[in-house]
Amino acid sequence: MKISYILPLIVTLLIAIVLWVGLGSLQNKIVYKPLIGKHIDNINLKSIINNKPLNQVIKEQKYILYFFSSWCGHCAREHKELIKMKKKLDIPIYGIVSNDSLLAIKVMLSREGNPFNDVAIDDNSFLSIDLGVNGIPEAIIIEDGKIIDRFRGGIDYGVISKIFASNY
Amino acid sequence: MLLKKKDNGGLNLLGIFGQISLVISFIFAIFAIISPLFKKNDKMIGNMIIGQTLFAFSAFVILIYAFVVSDFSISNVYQNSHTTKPLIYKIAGSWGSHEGSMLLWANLHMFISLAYLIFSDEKLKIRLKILTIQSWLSVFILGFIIFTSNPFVILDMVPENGKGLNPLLQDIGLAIHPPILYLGYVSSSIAFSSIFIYLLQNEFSSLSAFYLQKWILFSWSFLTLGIGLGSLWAYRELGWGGFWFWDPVENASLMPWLLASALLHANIVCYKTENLKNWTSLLAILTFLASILGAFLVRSGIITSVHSFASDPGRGVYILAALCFASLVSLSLFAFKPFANNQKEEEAFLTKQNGIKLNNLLLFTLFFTICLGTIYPIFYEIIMHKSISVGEPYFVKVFLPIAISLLFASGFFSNLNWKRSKISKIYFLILLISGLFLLFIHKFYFYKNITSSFALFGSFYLLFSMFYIYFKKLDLACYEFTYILAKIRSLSVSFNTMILSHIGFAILAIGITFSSGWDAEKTAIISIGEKIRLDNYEVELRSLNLKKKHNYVAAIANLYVEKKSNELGHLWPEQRFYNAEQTWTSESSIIWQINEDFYVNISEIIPSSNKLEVKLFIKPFVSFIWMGVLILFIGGIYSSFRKRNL
Repeated sequence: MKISYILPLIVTLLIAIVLWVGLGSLQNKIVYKPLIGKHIDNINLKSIINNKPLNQVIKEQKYILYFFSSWCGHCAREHKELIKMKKKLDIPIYGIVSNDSLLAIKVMLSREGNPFNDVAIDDNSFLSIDLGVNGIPEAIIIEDGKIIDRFRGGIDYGVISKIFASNY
Repeated sequence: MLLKKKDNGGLNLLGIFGQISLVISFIFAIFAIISPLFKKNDKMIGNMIIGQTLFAFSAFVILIYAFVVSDFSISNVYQNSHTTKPLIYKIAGSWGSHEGSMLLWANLHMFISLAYLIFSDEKLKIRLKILTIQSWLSVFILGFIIFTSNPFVILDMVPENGKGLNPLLQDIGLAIHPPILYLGYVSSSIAFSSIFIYLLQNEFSSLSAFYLQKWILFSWSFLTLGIGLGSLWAYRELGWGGFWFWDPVENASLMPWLLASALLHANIVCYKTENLKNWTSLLAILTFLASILGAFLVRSGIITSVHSFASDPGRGVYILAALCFASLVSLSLFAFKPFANNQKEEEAFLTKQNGIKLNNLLLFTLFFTICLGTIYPIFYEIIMHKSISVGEPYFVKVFLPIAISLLFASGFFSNLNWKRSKISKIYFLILLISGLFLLFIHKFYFYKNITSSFALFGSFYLLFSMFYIYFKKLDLACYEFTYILAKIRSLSVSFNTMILSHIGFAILAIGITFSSGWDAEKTAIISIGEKIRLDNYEVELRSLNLKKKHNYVAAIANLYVEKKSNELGHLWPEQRFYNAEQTWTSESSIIWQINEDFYVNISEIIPSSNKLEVKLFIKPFVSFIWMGVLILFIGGIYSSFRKRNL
């Protein structure tokens, strides 16, 4: 028996272990979450309901800013989840529309239901850029004007209900 | 169409039959692996193989039937089909999803096992033993299907219509590319199982190696064709103007291909000289393991890829467990019971055997770089807790120099004999001619960079070497037609294969070099009546029309193309909106020419102003890539099906 003949076995098993650990970390995937702790001063996008700037509308200490649009398939799927979540826990959610028209959003909200406290359109995407949003749907959780957590491409119901548990 | 919302209470005969077939096939496979315990009944395993194949096939037929009649009570059909789809994509949809493709995999695996049972030249006793190992693999695959990805899950409610198939997959490329690639993957299992048995018996005769060669070639040919068709699909359908993106899915298919290429060379040494037995068996094992590794990487979602269509960590656990088991058993067998080393002392350095060793070294290094580049991000994430992506720059930098040396080495060493040979002046003459030819080519395609030029140099060298070897072997004494024909017919199958495949490889390399080194592209916004130029080409947007088709709405642009003021024809790139899936895709339109493709893709339609954002590409010699792949395939399959003598 030569040592070189065992080498393939050892290398393959090492790779398998790495893959195993990698697969494990997939379940609690390390996600890149930028700008946590960033202070948000003024969201002056205008509400589509009463045309007031959003920072005057938002009264809550802790809320979710939810970036979405009507043309995005994942948003449409998650919309239903949001509505369910809204029914169960009354969490303040503010919708920010990116790259979409007012009409399309109104049609979407009237057809699918509206889980949002208020909605504003981010016309030139400045808010998205400020908050580091580079894809939709993205949910940003804000407490006392600071970003405390964010979910890219899908909210985690469990984590959100924990964060907002103190409210109830 | 009778599609009502009804509560069917989970009673669906089609789905139930499908599930039962799968389970029966599974039971047959289990009987096949325990059949060696009953020593008297040697033929039993043959029947078991036939049984599992039949029932797995019937499950597959049931699934296809469910797709054809759009039975949406089956979850898989609901997820991946729609009544408005053309029939061919309904059928193709049955292997477009993860579950369906695994069922296809199982079917092909069993068919190839059955084919091995019938057509192999190996002794029946050994053949049956090899089939036991094949049945072990069947058990794994069927278990995987039944326990983690059952295609016959029945919905409680019958939905009115399906969700549709990913529009990118609604292409003829999808209908044929996966079955062919899978055929390549599954047939690599034959070499694995055979080597397993040979290791277990501790006997690997040169005759066995020779019989194995045609199965290796079969697997390699279908891998080649499958990868080629996949990149043809990407080129036509994805609209990026490229044919290879170093995407993890593509890398996953390239890894077994590289190993299979090394294997088929090493096995030649094995049956000609009885050397390299252990190395050959290691390659055979690794080729198959690389296939499973590829399946794992793609299906588990451990690496996010542009086209990982179906991924789920739960499945990953299963595949990884199977991978660990298979590698543990086979590689320990290799480690603790290798063949006796009867390698004779090498007398000469310049022999074909050493050439093949070098070839194996290079191919294995290529495999290693790709494997590293694909797995490294996972390493990095575990250790550094940060994501990283390894992309094209790494692969191009590491891959190209090795691939180019492979071209030169194969050109040089194919000239040599099995025994001692000398370097004759003619080799340098071929090198010189290739160099001159390169200079000649640079008159039309100006010097761009050292890598491209070297790649071309190597390809020409390989090409000319092959022509030289061919004519040297023909040894024509006179030029009468019948005499030449008789001479050509007297050449052996393996020699023809060698020449043909290496020419294919050279042509493929030329195509890849040109299309990536001398391409041109331009993005422009164009309105109706406007003209834009790219090199010699002039494009005019004549009109923009909407067309309603059965399952999509298309905005079709009519582009009139001129080259040096001569009419080339019209191009009709499209933007399609698929109703069922609610997604946009763009269909590129290409003028195919031998020397260069002119490729147009609409990136965006600006609705208010009837303007288009288009991407134009000039891709020289892309046709050579497809031609090269086809020649490689023909070379391999010709050799695999012809009867040969040792």
